Amino acid sequence: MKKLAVFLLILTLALTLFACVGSAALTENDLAIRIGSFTVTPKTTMDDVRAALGEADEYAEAISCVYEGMDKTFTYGDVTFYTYPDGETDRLMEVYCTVGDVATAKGVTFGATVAQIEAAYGTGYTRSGKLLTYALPASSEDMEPASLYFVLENDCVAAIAMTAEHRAE
Amino acid sequence: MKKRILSLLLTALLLFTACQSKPDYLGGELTGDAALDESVKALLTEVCDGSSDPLAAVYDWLCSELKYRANPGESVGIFTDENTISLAQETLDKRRCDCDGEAALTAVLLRRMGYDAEIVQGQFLRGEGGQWVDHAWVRCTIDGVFYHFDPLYDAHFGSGDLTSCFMATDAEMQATHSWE
Repeated sequence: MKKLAVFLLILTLALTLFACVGSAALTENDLAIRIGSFTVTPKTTMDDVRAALGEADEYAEAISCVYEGMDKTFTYGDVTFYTYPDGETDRLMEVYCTVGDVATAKGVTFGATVAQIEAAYGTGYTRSGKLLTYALPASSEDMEPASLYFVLENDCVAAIAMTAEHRAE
Repeated sequence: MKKRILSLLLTALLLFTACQSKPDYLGGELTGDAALDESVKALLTEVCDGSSDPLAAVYDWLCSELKYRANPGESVGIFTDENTISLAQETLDKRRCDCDGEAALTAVLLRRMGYDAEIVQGQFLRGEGGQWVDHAWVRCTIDGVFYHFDPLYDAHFGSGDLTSCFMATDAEMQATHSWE
């Protein structure tokens, strides 16, 4: 009887621990991406980006299909910042990295496996296409949530991207 | 007895044939790009299998799964078979696109389903009282009538039930879209 009780206690503890690892609540800081010595979080503004990285190597803009104003991209080497217009301000929508000295807040880099991602961020992700995405809850129905996502090639990380919470329109 | 065996064999043969044959929604045109064709087959099977209305199921998937992210540095200009294939593949992989990527993937999916789909490049009215902006979407001919499909419009500016630009006729589209 005692053995059974101990076994059940251990089982309960193990299941609880497993559940915590699988659904650990992430914070905005967990979604951050370090690019060299500059860290991008969902709260980063394009002014922060310019102050840290200077003028972009490439710049492009076009009238937005969805927002009122211009969608823009600012490219620094293999890192691209996507913005959307919000009045006079270009708000960060996404940063997308394919090569270079890039790591997430929890140390995931290019070439990491799904198992390594899970060890860092847990199993509370969604998979669609080649994407593995960890998203925070959106602050309202009108917003697309902040997220960290990995583009996988042969189940290894080929690109790392972070989406800032932004208007869904 | 012989008749019964023959009947059983015939039934088994029919069942085998039914299992082997392609579902209706995979009976259309391939792109010629093996990787894309395989991805499209997997997606259509996932989305359409068991659905009583595969076309509506695919349209709902496009509206809900694809996130808008413009890529102004890589505007397609004129659609060709080549850039349609590469855009459709990229959209399928990354689930992020602007109207060009969405139109390319919509066209590829509908063609694979057997529809005569073409990409329309025109303009649309962005939001009520908004401005006319360059846009791309898809049109099919079904029984001699043009039907339009614009999942990006439905996802962002539609009535909410994802039917504003699902099989919309020319007359229904003209309030919000213009094309040559």
